[in-house]
Amino acid sequence: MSHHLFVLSPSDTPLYSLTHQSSRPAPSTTSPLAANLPTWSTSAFAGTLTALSGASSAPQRNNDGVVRGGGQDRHVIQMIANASLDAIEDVMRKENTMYLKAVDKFNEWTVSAFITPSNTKFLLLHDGKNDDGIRSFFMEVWELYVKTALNPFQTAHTPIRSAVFDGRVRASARKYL
Amino acid sequence: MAIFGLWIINKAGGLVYQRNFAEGLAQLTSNENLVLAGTLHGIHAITARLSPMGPSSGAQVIEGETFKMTIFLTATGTKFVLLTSLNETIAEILLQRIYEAYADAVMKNPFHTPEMPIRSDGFDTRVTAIIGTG
Amino acid sequence: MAYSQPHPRLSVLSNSSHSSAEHLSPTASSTRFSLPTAPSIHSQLSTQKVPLNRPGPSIYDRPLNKSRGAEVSVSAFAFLLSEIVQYTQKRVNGINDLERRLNTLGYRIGVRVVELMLWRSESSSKTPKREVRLLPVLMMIHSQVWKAVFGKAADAIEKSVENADEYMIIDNDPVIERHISVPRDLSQLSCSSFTAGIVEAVLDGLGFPARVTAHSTPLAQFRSRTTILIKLEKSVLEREELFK
Repeated sequence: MSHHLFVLSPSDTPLYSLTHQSSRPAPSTTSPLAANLPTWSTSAFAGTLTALSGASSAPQRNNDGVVRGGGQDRHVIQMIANASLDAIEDVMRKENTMYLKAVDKFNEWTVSAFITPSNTKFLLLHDGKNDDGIRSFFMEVWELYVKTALNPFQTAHTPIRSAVFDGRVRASARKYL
Repeated sequence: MAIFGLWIINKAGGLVYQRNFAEGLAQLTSNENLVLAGTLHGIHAITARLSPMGPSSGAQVIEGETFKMTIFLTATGTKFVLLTSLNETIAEILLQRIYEAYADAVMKNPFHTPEMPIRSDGFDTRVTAIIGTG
Repeated sequence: MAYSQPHPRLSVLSNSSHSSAEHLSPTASSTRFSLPTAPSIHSQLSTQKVPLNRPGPSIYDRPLNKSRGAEVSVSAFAFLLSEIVQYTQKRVNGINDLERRLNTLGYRIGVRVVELMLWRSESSSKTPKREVRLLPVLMMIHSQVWKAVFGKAADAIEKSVENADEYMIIDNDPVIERHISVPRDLSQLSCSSFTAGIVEAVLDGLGFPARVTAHSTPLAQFRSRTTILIKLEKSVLEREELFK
């Protein structure tokens, strides 16, 4: 199972990102691409999206050993994360919980989000189901984020470069994801 | 018992605050007040230097036949002078309270420049509350 | 704390032989506001026996919810705020500019306040909540935010009669203004613009963009009474309508 975490500022600029490969077993069922496409993907962009995400959902390794296809490309991951922002903004206007579980889906990816009180968003792309683990993970990232935000040199729009923050988030990911 | 007036003298000898509370002393123009404050600053320096007991904070009370002046010197060299009748017993306590009001309403006020004349409504109000309108 | 040489700031102030003109000259003021010189830093560290290469505990190692005994002295805050206002005043043109800058500084505080305050109240919950309705948010600012920042709740919250998009939070004795006497030539100025910035950040964070300003509204018994005026953006009211 792999996870991609993005921390986004209130104006949706990325502040921090992390890719985490979990040692837990990957989900066995992978539904066909078309079945999982959201309804809006029949729009004009759908063709592009399908092309970007790769025709098959199974990852293939090329000669360099880089994972290709299966929605594992970096730019595809970022695109899925970006696309889910619309869904998140829609939900967060109505829902009063900070943790928005499985707020969007694309291919094998589920997007869960966490909105902090100052409107910083944590986005997690995951391909398995682990609600409680993800919630605990988000809560720890939130605590680390609050501590980071208390730094007077940190603003809501400065990328987080603290090595300690990075280390703690990674440790938390290993613990819960 | 009467409190006639209050002077605040900065560390260079300039009068930065002057207020009368009761009749009983000669009425002076503000210029005369400035000169007297400067003179007192000099006298105070003389008393501090002449003291045989080593370092001294200088004169604390100067008595005349009809009035006395109680002088309170702060750690930063500002002098608070209270002009009262001879039988006034709480001058030192009043000066302490005025100093407290000064620390709050003058020194914490962003619109006050240190060593310059004090123009603060907050300080006026606090002093009035301590001494009374007179 | 023993310095091997007098602190530059203290040495200037205690030496009464300086004329007042020297205090105001740029060279003198640069020593007053500069950091202590290197030798004094070294002597300070060596007297405390702290190894130079060991950093203190990181914020990441400290608990966030320990607020007992962590209060800041009102005097220390008043002196800091006084310097902030003086510093800002030297760098602006006119009252509006000064208020705008104080608002910006407050905004930076507010972002942290809302984040930390809700972390303290919500992080122990299984389903942490962020409020999405306007009135509860305004009540939260009136009571919780005021308590977190000033140690007491605000005195009133009112809805404007004329304008549906305007709300007012009233503080009879704002901590910010307690030691401030605004001179007559600046009578339009309200230093509570700083507070307005905090309120604006809290509203913004929770998704209620608004323009927040501070106005001095003195009464005979409350000389520094201040009204924080909240003018909500149109989108906020439209969203509120959808909830009904």
